[in-house]
Amino acid sequence: MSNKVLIVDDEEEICRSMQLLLSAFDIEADYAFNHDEAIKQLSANSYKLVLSDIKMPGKDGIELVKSIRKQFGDQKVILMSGFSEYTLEEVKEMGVLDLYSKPLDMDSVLSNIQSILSH
Amino acid sequence: MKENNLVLEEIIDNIPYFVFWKDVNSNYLGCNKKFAESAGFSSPKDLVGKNDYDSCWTKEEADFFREIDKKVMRENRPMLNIEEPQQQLDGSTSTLLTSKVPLHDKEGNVIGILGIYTDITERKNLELDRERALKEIKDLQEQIIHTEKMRSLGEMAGGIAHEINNPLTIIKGYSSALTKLVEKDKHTKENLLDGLAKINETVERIGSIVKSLKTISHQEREDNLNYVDITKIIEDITSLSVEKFKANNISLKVEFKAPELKESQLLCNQVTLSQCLLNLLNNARDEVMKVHLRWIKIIVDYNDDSFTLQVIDSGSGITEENKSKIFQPFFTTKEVGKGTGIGLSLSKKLLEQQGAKIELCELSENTCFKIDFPRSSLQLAEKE
Repeated sequence: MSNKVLIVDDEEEICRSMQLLLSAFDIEADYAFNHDEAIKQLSANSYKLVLSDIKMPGKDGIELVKSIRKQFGDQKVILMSGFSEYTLEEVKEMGVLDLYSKPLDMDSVLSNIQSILSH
Repeated sequence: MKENNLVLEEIIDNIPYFVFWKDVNSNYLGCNKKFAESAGFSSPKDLVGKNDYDSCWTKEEADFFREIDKKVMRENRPMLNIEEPQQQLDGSTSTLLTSKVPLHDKEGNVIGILGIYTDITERKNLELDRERALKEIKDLQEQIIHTEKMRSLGEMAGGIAHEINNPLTIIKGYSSALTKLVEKDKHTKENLLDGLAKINETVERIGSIVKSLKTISHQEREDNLNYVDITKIIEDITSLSVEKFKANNISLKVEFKAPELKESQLLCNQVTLSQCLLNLLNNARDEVMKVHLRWIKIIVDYNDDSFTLQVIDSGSGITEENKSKIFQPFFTTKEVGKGTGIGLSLSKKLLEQQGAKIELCELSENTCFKIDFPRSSLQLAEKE
């Protein structure tokens, strides 16, 4: 099983900075800017974790979780948001592991991701 | 003759007014019963030959009554419906509505005055009550407008959080990444320079959001007009909305109908004008969220008579029934709790204060609000 992470955010620089940060820990990451691109990447590659923004143009992060559950079963997902209308309890009901609020606390995000990847 | 006098006396006593007449020296020649009683006498006869200082009124009141008498006789002209205060036997003060006319002999010489008055204390009190009630309503309205201003500020603050949290995440992402790369000795000169440049760019992006916010929330007098770059007005309001629109799949376009407008200035109150434009954009956003195709356009244009700003959206439009109501305070089509119905009526007031008008454009098939400034408010840049 691959140890790769898929970052989904419509802000390119958020994707690129996270990718750079993960690279410091030898964690490989790809990124997608929206729901459809993310589904395409998930179909082509295997990922240990999807880290997705909630608010995105078109179908949002919640729609993405629904599509993932339909097509990829219990794929691990963490959501993040700058101004979320959803609570952690609500997203956990969809099998989402965690809900990060932006701006992200990078140290705890990193240790979280590392512990998920090591399992 | 005697019978005639009796009839006249009967009439005068029963008129529901206070009636009296005086000679040129303001001594009483006669009065009706009502008047005699109010002056503190039991019958009209007791008052004949007396003056105002002999009655129950204060010296100031007596002086005032005699002053008016003199004026009427000197100018030989009636004074009608003068409001006067008058102390009553019980010590309370009543308000009187008095008319005084000069009396003449056969030759036309002034020989005295005739006065007639009625007590309007009750009416006056009702008027005062009404004024008080009106003031209370006005205070309440101002309070509601203030609440609405605070609400839209709160809404804007929520939007700002979204606008700023994304760039903050980018800065945090790059600074953490660079720190970890250096700690682990995995950095290259390229990724350090690239990351630092990205941090710099993003700080500037936040700076411009904060700058727009500062202009728009700045407290200033509502009648304060200045020449402002039209491009700046547009950039400030779009930079406060663009993230939110992008996240909701709404395309926001700005169209300058004439290129020289980009370099031109408008005499306006930028704070309140921006509030109105943001209010229009927020309304437009709420409307386009209900449809599949989502766009909002701002059109900047001018002609010989006016300078116009139009906000057009792809929403399903305003029903005939609602068209006449949209500028009325408290009218809203939004869900309970989502809108107070003050936004447009407040915008109308704020725009009128700077000489501008706002109207719903009937010609457009989409919803279009047009803000009209007089052409004299526009300081047009030279055409290139």
